[in-house]
Amino acid sequence: MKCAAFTAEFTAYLDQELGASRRAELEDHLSRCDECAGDLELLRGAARLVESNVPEIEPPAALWNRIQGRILPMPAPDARGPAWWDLIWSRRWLAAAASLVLLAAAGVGVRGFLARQASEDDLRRYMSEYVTTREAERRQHLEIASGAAGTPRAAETAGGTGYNPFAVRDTSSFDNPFRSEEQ
Amino acid sequence: MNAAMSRFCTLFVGMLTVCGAAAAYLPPALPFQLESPAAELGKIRSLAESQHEIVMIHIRKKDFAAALQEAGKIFEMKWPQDQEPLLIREIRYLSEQLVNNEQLASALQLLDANVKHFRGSGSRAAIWKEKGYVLKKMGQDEKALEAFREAQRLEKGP
Repeated sequence: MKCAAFTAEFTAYLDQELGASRRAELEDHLSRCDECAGDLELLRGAARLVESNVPEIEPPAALWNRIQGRILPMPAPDARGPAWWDLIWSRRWLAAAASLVLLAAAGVGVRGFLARQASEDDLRRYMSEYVTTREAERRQHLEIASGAAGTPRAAETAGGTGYNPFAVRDTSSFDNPFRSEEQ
Repeated sequence: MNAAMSRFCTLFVGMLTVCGAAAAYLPPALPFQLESPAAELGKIRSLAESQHEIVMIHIRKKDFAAALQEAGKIFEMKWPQDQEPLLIREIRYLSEQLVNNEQLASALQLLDANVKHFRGSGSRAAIWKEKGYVLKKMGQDEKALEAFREAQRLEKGP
């Protein structure tokens, strides 16, 4: 590192404001660079001279009163630190971006909600249609079954047989789909 | 002449023996192997028709557990997939009979136990709808909606 970089830090060094590592670097440089060591001694001497020759000044009593007069009307700093809205306000572009993101998310959410709602309505309609049709079908079957009592068909089927979906003979009937026509 | 006759007789008897032995050792032909698919379907259908009557007798006798057990045998038969609409009619009919007898839980059990025998998504959707209908009658509206949702999903396809 160049001497100028160290020279710039002489004041901080004398005031003991440098960090430990930086201080060690500077002291190492001073041990090897006579020119910088000389400059530092000059600065130290000047500081000593100022300290020994400047008389201590007692500030006038009115000064403190004036300072106190300005401090008192100021609001007390919040012990909890700055409020979140202060932080957001101090980063307005961030707040704007966050608002946009929130707005977009809300838009997507609303759209999803509406789509779900439409799908739910559609499902309820689908269920209602089936239930209505099925109920009508059931009532119709009950009417046919009760109306068939006493008919030749009922007599023929007495003893347990009724609609059989497996019967081919009368597939339009609702009682046994398995019955075959040949029978 | 006698020698020729004797040789012929020996040959004839020998052939008969060989044929007899072959007939005795060969396994008998299985009758269903010779049947056409239509005849086979006719036989299954005839069995199903009888089985259906057995189920209906159990329902009339209010023996619903036996009805469910016998109904299961109908769906377990080796039905070709193109017969699923027929089986759907049957399962809906039996479910309806159970509903008419206020056996809603049994109707649900019938549908749940036999849905596995249906491969077509349309058939499965029909069963889910019937299940939804039974659940709706049971007053379980949320579950009914779920069943109809599944039916709708199956109808729409993957």
